[in-house]
Amino acid sequence: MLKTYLFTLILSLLTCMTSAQTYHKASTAEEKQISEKVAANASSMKTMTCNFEQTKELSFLNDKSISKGLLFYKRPNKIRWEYKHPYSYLFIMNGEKVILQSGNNKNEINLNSSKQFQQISKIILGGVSGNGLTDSKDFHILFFISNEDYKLQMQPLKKEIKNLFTQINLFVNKTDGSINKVEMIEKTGDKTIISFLSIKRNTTVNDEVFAH
Amino acid sequence: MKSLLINLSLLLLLTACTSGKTLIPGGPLSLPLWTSTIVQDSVKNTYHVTLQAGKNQFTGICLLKKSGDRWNGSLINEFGIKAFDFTSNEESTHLQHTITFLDKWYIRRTIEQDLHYLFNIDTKGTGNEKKRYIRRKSPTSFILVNQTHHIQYTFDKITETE
Repeated sequence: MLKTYLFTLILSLLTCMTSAQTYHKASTAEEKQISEKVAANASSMKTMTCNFEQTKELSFLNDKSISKGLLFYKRPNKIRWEYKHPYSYLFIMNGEKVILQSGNNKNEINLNSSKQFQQISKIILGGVSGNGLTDSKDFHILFFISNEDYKLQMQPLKKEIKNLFTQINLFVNKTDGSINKVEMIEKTGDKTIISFLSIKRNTTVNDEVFAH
Repeated sequence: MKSLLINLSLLLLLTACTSGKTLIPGGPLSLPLWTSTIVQDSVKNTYHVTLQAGKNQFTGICLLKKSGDRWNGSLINEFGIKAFDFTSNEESTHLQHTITFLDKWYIRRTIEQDLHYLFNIDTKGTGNEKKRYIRRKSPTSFILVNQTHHIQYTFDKITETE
């Protein structure tokens, strides 16, 4: 009995040790280096396609909800964000135009008509490509480093974003400066984590993908 | 005036709609509404929700857990941004953590009253009251109509495969 307990305890500790990542704050020189890496990745990325997995952690229900889908990006401001599972939902941003489709309900928005949507779109574009993020006046950014990746801890400064999120964390690949994961934390402590998987960069993505 | 304010605020929740439907599909409700087909106790139940206020529509996901006679739920949009949490039992229904632009007393009160009607329909209502009624679309979906403020809530159960 005791042996089983000790074994479980050691196993749990080992799991924690291997899964938890330790971050330390970056120095000013390292901050500059990370910013340059993210900016270089953003400027060299013409297109991106990937799968994504979105986990919504709900503190109120003590539960989580997972959705999955496909993502297409084309420079400078085209995104197709397509949820496939467990529901189908489509978000297309093509310049100033945003299309939202859920089942047969299709909504079209001009970004100029909504400040909040402009800000959300900026985060989506920045979160996917890294474009215009590290020099953004909309966030106060803290840089952290672990053995595996960089973490950009972004605290919103604008009211429109503060109303939605207290913090947005971007996890950046140390090798190429690409963003692998976005974590959005709400006032209530709820978290939305979006992981980008099977990323393909600079492959052909036709403009028709962003028309609907 | 209150209806106008509610509609305007719900419009802000997401967006203007290209086409507004006024016909309510589905047949009259035979109680109970909350059978095991539509909700399972103590586990997370997921619904796709369409909220129509006038000609404007908003879609989102409602996550619901029933524990005894208490309901706890969250309404989020497809991107995961939360509109509000709610809790409901026989005595009362309360909204919590309401997103800023919905956090107005007349909106909270209207949604609270609508949800209270919905979650207590099997013990307190008939599904065909003067101010509100419910229509069943299918065994796993239904529509709640608020006749005073012309708001429709459509709930379609999502069966998660994992």
